[in-house]
Amino acid sequence: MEKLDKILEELKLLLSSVSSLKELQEVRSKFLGSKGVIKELLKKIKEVPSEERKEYGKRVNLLKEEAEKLIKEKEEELKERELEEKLKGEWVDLSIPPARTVGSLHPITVTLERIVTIFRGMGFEVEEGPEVEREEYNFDMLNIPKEHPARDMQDTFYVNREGYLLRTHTSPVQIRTMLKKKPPIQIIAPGKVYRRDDDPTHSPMFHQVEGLVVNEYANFRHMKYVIEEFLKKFFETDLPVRFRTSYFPFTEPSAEVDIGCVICHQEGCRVCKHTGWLEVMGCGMVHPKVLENCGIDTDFYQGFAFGMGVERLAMLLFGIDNIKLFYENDLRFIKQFF
Amino acid sequence: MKVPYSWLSEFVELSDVSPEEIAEKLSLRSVEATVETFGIDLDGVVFGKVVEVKEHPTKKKLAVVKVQVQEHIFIDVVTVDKSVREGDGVIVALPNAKVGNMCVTEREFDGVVSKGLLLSAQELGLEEKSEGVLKIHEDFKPGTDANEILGFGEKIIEIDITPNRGDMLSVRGVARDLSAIFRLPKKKPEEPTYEETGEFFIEIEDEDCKRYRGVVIEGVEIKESPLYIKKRLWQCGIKSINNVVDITNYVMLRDGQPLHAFDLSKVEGGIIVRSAKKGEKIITLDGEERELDEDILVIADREKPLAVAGVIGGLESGIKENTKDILLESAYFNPFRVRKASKKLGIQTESSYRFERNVDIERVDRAQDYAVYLILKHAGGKVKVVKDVYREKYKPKKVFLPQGKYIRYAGESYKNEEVKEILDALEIPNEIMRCGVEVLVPSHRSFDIQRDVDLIEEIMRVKGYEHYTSETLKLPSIANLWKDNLLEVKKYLRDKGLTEVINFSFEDSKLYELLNLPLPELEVINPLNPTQRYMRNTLITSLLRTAVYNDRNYNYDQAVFELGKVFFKEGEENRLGILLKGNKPRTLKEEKWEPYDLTEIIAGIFALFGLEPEFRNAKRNFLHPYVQGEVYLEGEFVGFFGKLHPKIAKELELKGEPFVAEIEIERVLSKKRLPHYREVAKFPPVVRDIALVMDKELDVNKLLIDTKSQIGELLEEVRVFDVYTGEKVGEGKKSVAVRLVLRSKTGSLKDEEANELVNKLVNYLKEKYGVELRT
Repeated sequence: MEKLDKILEELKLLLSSVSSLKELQEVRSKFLGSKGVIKELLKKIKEVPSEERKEYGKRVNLLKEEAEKLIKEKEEELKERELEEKLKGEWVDLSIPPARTVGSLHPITVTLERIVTIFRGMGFEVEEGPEVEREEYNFDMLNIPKEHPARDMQDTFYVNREGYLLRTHTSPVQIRTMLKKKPPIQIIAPGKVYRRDDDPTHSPMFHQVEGLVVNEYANFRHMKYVIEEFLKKFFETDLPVRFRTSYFPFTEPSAEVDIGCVICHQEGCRVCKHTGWLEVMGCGMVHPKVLENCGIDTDFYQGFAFGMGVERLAMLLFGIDNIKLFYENDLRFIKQFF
Repeated sequence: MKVPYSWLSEFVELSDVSPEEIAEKLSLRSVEATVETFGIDLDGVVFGKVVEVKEHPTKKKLAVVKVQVQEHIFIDVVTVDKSVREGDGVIVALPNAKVGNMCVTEREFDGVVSKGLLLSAQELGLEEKSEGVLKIHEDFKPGTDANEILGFGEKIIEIDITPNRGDMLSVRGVARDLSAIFRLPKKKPEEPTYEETGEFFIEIEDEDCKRYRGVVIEGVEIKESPLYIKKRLWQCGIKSINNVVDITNYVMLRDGQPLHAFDLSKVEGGIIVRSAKKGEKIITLDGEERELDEDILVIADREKPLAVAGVIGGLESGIKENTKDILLESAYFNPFRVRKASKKLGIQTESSYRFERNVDIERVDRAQDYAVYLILKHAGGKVKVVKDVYREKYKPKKVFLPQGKYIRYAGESYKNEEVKEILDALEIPNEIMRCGVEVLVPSHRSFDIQRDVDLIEEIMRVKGYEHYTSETLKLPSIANLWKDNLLEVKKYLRDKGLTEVINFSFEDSKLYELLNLPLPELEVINPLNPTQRYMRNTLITSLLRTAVYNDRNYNYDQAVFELGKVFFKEGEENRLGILLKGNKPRTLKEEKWEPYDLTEIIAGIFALFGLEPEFRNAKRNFLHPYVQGEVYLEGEFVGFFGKLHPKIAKELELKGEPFVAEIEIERVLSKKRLPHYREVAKFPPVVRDIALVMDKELDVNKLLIDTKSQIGELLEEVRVFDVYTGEKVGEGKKSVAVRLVLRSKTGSLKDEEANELVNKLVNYLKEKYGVELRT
């Protein structure tokens, strides 16, 4: 009987030194195999005195069960360890910063989308027009006759097509819209415009968004509301806004819109030339002559228009200090936007 | 325009309104205005009286002047200006004086110590260029601070008018607006008047001159102006010339009416206002010879043009030191005509600037009379002739502003008293009626007040826009279903790793020549520089410009796109351009962009709109002859792509050859469609992979299209999954592995059925293209 205990001890000893499934298989056949120690013990039952036989059998069976259990446990332990080893081999350092696989939208596109989204939310439609525009739509129909000093406000590029020019503002889209549909009109017109101006603060090509509302009631105070709402949303803050008297041939009364400087918060800085204010938009009630030019009855309809420079707004929103950056297309610049 | 604060009080009771307040309110309610301080930094500079003038003992070019600089203090000063005489008043910088950025110290001139410096107008910052020391003819106590004498430290309001506000181009005009804005009482300075007298020939041949008033003054003495006039001119940034010319400028600044003085001895037999004759020439006051034409209005005598009307005088007929008799002109010219001449000759003067913006035709006489008064006072002489040719007198236009219209525009009503007060202050004759206001447009506002809305603006601006608080506007929902498809394309490309660029629409001819592309038909006729002459007709040039720029900035890996207009002689359209160059962004890997990356990206754009493009191989000279293709949609050409030809890449000094593409995106978008549901088959597919050997340069796409039409609806998918070229398939051949997925909607497809379909297909392709099944 003591021998049986010894066998168990031996097994435990062996198992503790087993380090692979293959070795375990050897141990298994040594003890549980058909010629294994335990089989041998069972065969020896005939040699055991009959009164002890029952007890012997029981003990050997217990031993067998115990041995199976131990081996099984070891097997599981080894399998677990093996998987662990395998997984370890598959180690990937995911702390490495991945490459940036998304690109960038140009900051002007980002700004335009922001502007368009805000106005669409207010119920404006988007209209577009050609960049090579009829002189008539760009000037005459907007109440800017030839030889009027107002033409000096916008130095113009002309092209080798009679009566056409590179539009100096997106205002001709107003004309195109009013010629093609009846009020109520509530549109914004985003797009490229061109002026013969190239200095540190001007680019010969830039972008504008112009807005136009024509219906039976839109008044100056409504215009203020729309502009104030827009600016609040665009800059995501409740900044001070003021309207100054100005002049545009196609609006009357006309106003220039200033916002409290977003750079210095009206403390005074280089950007606002120490005035605390930044000019961001022009606006006004549509001049009746413009409406009449488009065949709109001014006894019934009136409205307002406004326009803004997209580069200027982008510069203020993103803190860009040089307009030239927009069209150099240095990827290190554009990739900062999304 | 610069307006000295102190001058304003000649016309309006400013009481305690500060220059800063004036500038702020003007900016909000009238025209943009800022405040500046007149004069340079001046410390230790005083008025001095010359008591003795001696020659320098050794240096002939110098004079030694004894100057009294205080009651009992006399100093010796060395000067180069030998016109200084005993009794002259001068401005002296004492030792250690500060004059702008200059520090004055004692200085020795060959044995004579100069204890100070006599200053010139230039040194004092009064004029850009001046000769000799500044002489003051008025009597001051020696030692008086020069700041006081020259008016330094006074506030100047600089205004920048909008083109409609010509009425603000005078001290009088600004004062008028201020009296309305601040509700300040006006002052009425005395107005001398001279009745018509004498005879002088004046003929207006061109109706663009609506009024011409000539005054002949005989026996004037041309000399320097009195200090108060000079001071005003300096404060307004105008050079002092002589008394008569200065007075014309002084009155122009004060009253807004440009005046011109002729030397009467140079006027042959009277004045004719007429169009210039083509080829006629005049030497203008600036010494330039100008060629004139019929567009230009001139003031002429019987022989020759004397001046360009409203723009600039002639040199010959100008006032000289020895002029005795003068003809003083005050006139009204059509603004457009003056502008035309000014543009044509490329001259802008204080005069043309005002005429272009309209002067007050009704003040032509009063302004001139004031100048006559000053000339008689400061230059002497006698008025011989006053002649006013003013055929069609100004008739004020009646404008009625209905109260209802005001309410419609302003969003609220007005108070009668307030409107009256504003219009009165603006000197706009008005009558308040029960249901509106009627005004008679005065001549000083004839240019910009034409109709009711102009009056609305006057009332609203003077009250201040801040008074009209915002009111919620709820716009009716009329917006169409609208999707910014171009933005969708941009976002797709961004998500694919591409970066958007925006180039100028103008392009140089060089890139076109290099690529051997036709030059754009549309040209800018007045480009800023010759490299911006053409309106691009392709985006490829723009993208190559971007690539070159970025290469130069060491940004070699480029995946960019541009979505913008290209232009034709008539019309324009949006295009999409793509350029891929260098490595793709990959983590821990270096992978170059490949041709199929480009076609995948392009195909993706079509997929966004439910479209399937067809790719064909193509030949464009500027692209790699064997790595390029074209894109078709429903049989129509919609774009091309490929690798830039290595020769061109080298020419551009690009590192590596980029892939480029240009898609006619508008044509693509016009074909976009809504998704259309098709039943999802329930039965299992049969998959067959076949390898076909064919000529290397055969477009596989053609085979696939035929495959689709041959098998028909049982073909669920057909896809090329491998292309092999090499020894095993032979020279000039390629092996294309194609996977066919066959599936029926009505039942499980049997193997035999599938085999038969495939065999039929292979036979068809064999016959049509000579392909062989590879086994």
